[in-house]
Amino acid sequence: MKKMIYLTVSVLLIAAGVSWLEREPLATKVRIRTPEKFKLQRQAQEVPPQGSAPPKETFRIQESELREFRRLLPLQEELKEEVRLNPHQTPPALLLFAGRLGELMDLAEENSSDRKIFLKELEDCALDENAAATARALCVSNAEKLGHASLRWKIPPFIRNLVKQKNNMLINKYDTEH
Amino acid sequence: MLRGQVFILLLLSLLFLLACGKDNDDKSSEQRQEGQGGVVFDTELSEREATALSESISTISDLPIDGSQIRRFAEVFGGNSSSHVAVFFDERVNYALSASTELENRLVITSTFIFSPTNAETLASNPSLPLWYFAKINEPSIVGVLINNEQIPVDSSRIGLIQVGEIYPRLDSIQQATTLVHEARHSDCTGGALASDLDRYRNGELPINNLCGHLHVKCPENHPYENEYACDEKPWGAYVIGAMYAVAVSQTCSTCSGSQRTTAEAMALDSLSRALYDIEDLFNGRFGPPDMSSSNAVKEVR
Repeated sequence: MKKMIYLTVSVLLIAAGVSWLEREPLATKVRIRTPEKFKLQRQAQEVPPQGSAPPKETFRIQESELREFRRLLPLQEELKEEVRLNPHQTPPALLLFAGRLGELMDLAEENSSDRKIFLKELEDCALDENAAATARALCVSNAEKLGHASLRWKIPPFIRNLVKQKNNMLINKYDTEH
Repeated sequence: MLRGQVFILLLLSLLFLLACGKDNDDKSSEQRQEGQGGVVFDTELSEREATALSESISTISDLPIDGSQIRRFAEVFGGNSSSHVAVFFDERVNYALSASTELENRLVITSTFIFSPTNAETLASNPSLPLWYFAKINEPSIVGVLINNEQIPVDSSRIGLIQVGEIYPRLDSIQQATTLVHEARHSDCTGGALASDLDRYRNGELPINNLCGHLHVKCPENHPYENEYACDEKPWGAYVIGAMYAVAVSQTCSTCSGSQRTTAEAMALDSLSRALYDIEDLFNGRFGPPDMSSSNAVKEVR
């Protein structure tokens, strides 16, 4: 029975489709709108001519990306509200922030100019007293991966302890505090 | 005319596919019932939920991590590789339910006790322990859960039911996998249950023995999540177990992107922030080795 229904519908569609296709096509303008979303853009590296001055510093992390990163830094109240709605799981705002941080870390680890810029952002994040504690801990941890070893001493003990606890789960990265 | 002919051809192909599609739908429905990695998928799971679960379970077993870099990883998961995490998960999770499933309607003995429904913000939950408590207070009657028309007896907390939340399919597989590992720990009634907790359950009160089911407790004053039931009081609870897996992913996963590794790191930090005991003491053995067992025993409190 179902197959009969499919057959009937298909025949009707065929008839409609054929007559539609045989009409004169209308000129249409199709406008594709690129959705606004966070994108990582890469500048083309300049290749200097042989024997010339050292290449200029190239930055792959764009200012717009850094603004987006700052915007995504969650506040403590924001995470608390998300935890109130769902106490048991990692707050979505923290996950979103972490994802963006990871993308920028990939660039920062490959390029010294980006590393310098992004380290500044991570430092600002770590020292932001309004930001969520776990987000600040994430910033400290990733700043240390980029070589900023002293940031830990500028943050509250709770956040410092979080980073230490995470590191102490690793066998090769036993974390000692003075 | 050529366009018309092409169109006819396409529709005829569609006709044949649809004619055969009923059998394929049956097969995919059966496959959905079969599930993934030993977990039976309930038929109420949507295609999207089933796909998400399949991917995350595959992630647990296939992700190239190295647990030897994490302290006590082998003691918790029985080994250092993803296959060991998969066994840990398999021992504790047997059935997967949809966010839209109302569990109380699946009970063979109905009750006025309402299980907390998953809300729009929930990733996943594990109702295995409250289900087992419910079964215990209804003894000598046997309580079962209907899954895919089969009555599954509830005879321990290791019945291993996981109910995905509405946002679960929207997460990436790393977040899903870490969530599943956390939830699996809730199937362990370590040390057995207290008879007094069964009485509390019967009266709609919270149990006092948090080791059975590794239940979360209220976070204390001045904690970032103050007053929320979002913390762990007892060692080797679900948050630390999940954190260990997340750290293994963030530090050792060789196929993960920077974004995935940092997300896993964030999950680890968030989980660690919810442990109300010293993590350093934990890994130094002050609270003893991790007890990954589960017991059906019910103890009297003297």
